[in-house]
Amino acid sequence: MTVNNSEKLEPSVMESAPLMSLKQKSLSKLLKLLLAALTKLTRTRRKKLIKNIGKTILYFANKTRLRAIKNITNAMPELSIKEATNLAFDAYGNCAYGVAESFWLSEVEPDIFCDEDTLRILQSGEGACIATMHLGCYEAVPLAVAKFAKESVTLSNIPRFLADSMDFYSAVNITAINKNSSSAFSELLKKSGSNAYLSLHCDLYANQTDVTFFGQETKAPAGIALLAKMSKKPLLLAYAIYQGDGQVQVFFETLYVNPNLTAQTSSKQETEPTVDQIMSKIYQRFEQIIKQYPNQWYWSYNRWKN
Amino acid sequence: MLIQQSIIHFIEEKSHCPLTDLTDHLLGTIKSFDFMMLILELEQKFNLKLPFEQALSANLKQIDQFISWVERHHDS
Repeated sequence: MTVNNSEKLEPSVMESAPLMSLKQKSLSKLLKLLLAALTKLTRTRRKKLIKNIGKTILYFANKTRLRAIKNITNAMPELSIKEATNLAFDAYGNCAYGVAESFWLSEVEPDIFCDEDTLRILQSGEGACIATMHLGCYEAVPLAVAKFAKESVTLSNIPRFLADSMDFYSAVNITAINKNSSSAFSELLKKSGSNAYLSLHCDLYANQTDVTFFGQETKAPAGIALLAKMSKKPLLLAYAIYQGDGQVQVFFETLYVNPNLTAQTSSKQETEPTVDQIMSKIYQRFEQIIKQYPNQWYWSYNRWKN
Repeated sequence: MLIQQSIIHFIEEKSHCPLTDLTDHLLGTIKSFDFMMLILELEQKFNLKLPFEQALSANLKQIDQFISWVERHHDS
């Protein structure tokens, strides 16, 4: 994994490292053993096993299970409690597998779908900002971008001690910036200015912009819209879903191209949407996509916390 | 002066602190998200084009350094 570790030499990090090292080493080794065992299985058997583990975890995690069911019934009131419960288990199992696949991305070969204009943006080498979501295979979007682009960048939540010892992102040509790094923000800004393709998950809660999501007022992260506006790059939306046979499909759509880049709108300054408007459009589309693939979204997250 | 006032007003509004020390670290005072909002707001308000990649360099960390940097772009 290529994780930006420029904060590595900061004194606070260096001081805490020896205290954490034994625990970190053990965890890292345990995970490596687990991954070695899992990757010995075929992808189909791996999927079945991980989905069942996910469902078992949800069975014992009362709070998480109830939250998932509540979120589903709020979003889709037409479902009965039994249907919502089944959906919660199915979605949790799928999400467990979607997360786990980050560890063997080199085995994932997604089918890519987009229109011609979007393809042109992806192939231009001039960079773009891509709003994505926790649906299906979570890291399939930056993986698909890496097939086109010189530099596919994403934010990663994986602890540095795991990222350092494993190489699953760099193996597929993705640059993952550690979300918790003190330099994450400046790295993202630099990348957006240097023709990189940035894929950021935007469907979780953040106190940045107001959106309506499944009929409820909530807040959302707006960094991707801001980065697109600041860097004058096109803004795309992308998502990855699993087909019944386990094949990953990644869909790209163009949401917004900066007026300065399009001749016909360059004189119409007023047509440039605000950050709030862009995020609102992204969330409308997220909602449609989730309704289309409800058993592949991360329902158990405390999304409507406000 | 107008740029300085705008920046300080923005920082005070976001940090909920009525007294801004201009030697404070900009990104220690406001969130990175608000920093991006500030850049966009300044670009729009003063019809500027700010090379935002530069805005995080070592010599622009303090609020007063950031103000001077924006003013320089405005004057040029």
